[in-house]
Amino acid sequence: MSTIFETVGAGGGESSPPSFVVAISTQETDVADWFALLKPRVMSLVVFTGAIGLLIAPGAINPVLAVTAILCIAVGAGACGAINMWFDRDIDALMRRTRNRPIPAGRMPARAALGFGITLASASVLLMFLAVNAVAAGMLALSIGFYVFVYTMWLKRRTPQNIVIGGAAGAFPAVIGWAAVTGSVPLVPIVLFAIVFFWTPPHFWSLALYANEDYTRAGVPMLPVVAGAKETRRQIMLYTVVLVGVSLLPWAIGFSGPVYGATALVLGLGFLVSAWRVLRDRQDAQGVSLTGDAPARAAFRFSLAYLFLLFAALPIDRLAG
Amino acid sequence: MPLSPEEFSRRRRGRNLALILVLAAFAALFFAVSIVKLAQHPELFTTSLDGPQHR
Repeated sequence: MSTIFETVGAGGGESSPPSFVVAISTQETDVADWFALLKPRVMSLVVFTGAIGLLIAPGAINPVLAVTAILCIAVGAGACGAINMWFDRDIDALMRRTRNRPIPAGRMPARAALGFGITLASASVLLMFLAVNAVAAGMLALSIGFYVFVYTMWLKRRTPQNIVIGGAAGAFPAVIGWAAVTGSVPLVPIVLFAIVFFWTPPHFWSLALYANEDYTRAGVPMLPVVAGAKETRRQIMLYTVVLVGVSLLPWAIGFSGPVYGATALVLGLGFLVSAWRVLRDRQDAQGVSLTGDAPARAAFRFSLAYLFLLFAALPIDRLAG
Repeated sequence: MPLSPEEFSRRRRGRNLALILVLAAFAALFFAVSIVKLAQHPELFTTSLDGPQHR
């Protein structure tokens, strides 16, 4: 690591302290890099679904405690991002999409990111326990542990089903938000969990279809790398069909009314059309897209809007009802 | 590439400022949470002088 040297103390005379030279690292990390460790874009989705879980749960929670719960969810998600960047620094350096992250770009020592992540993870769980309740804290600890140990360290580099099972980690926030209010986890938050769980594969595989080169270079066994683009398109269609069915459950079990039901139906049809276009994309015999994966790019963008709008419809429906 | 001393100082200043803000926000949050908990569960915060007979 590069260093500069700085002289400390006036030195020389009897009345002044002796001067000495200290070595200072020149790798002082910018605040923006610490923030980037938290994966703010992922965090925004996690905060949103957590807030929806909290808003639609029956009962009341003091606004200060509600904000604290959301903050804990956000910080816990950020901690996962930091630990993930520490663990994946070798493959991040190989992928165009991730090589400018603080660690592979050489702007931050890896151990600093790990320490930052562990500190944030511990603090978020502890604060959730002290300020909110034990169930929400337990669910938060479980989601962090699942993301770090099950997804990042175990599944990601071993199986093309990595994001299917690992997607469970991203599905926890709505459950945590609900548990923050009620202190319990009944059927409805489990349905919300299932929606995010089945949304994750078509969302990430759409990205993986056009980021295929990156994953191949890094040796990450994403589905397009292992099973090919054709099979990936088929799986996207399959999971989207299941997702549309699951998304109607809040209405089917009587938790939500017609506003949510109609929104879920319209958005679901839109997602099915997107997935169908991905499936029917013009491709060569090996399944390589001849359109630059335009339908997959569109499906990825639509999937983001889909989740935001679907979850937003839940509290709107409660207000309308 | 090594940073210039000016850039190094700028980054360190930025980090220190961010740390102060985070710590201040953290202290404010703990204070607010304590006030809410006090209002919700006053029995948890009685002193020995208050004793059961005075409740």
